Amino acid sequence: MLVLTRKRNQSIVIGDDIEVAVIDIRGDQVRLGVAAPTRVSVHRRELFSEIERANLAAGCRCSGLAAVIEALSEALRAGPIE
Amino acid sequence: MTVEASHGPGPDVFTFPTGLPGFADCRRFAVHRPPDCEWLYWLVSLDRPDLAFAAVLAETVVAPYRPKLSREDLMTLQAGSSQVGLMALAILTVPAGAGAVTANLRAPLIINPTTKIGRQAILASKQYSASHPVGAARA
Repeated sequence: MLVLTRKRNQSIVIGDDIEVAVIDIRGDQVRLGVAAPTRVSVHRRELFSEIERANLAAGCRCSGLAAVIEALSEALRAGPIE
Repeated sequence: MTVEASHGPGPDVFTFPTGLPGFADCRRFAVHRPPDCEWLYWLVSLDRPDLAFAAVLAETVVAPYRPKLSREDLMTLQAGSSQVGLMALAILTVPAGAGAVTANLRAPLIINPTTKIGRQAILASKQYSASHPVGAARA
């Protein structure tokens, strides 16, 4: 990983069209500003990790379809899915 | 944001160009519609042995369901600038033991039936939960 030291109001440029600026530093918190094209998504790492964990928990064995249907039918009996 | 899925003889195969978070190598999924469970979408990975996901149309979990997709999402899906015709599926998590079945509404699987491309969108808004309890609405 490339490690750079920046001060408030300094920034780095990634590629041709992405800029990450240090807006403010307070204690152990750093406010970053990201200027990137709309085609580039920017997420907090924690959110991406949460989705990873959710996917890992959701993965099933292919042979488990019947069991999944049974479990879902049971769970959803009173639910909104018909 | 609803479109009739194909009910043809074989399953539709959708390509997810960047895989799914946690499963970056899983790019092709065959989407099965079990005849005895019509609301279920059973996505079988064609890249990793014995991996499948259960999903439902997100609107069956919470309606109306209006995810705000990013430009990157739409570009990946080759959907132009419009969400019309796209389908939003919510991956279900079935706990091994006790506990509620949950649906991931924060990161829906968006699929484009026209281009057969899919992408798991990660919504910027906190409006929807990644572990929305399912079946509790009228319990």
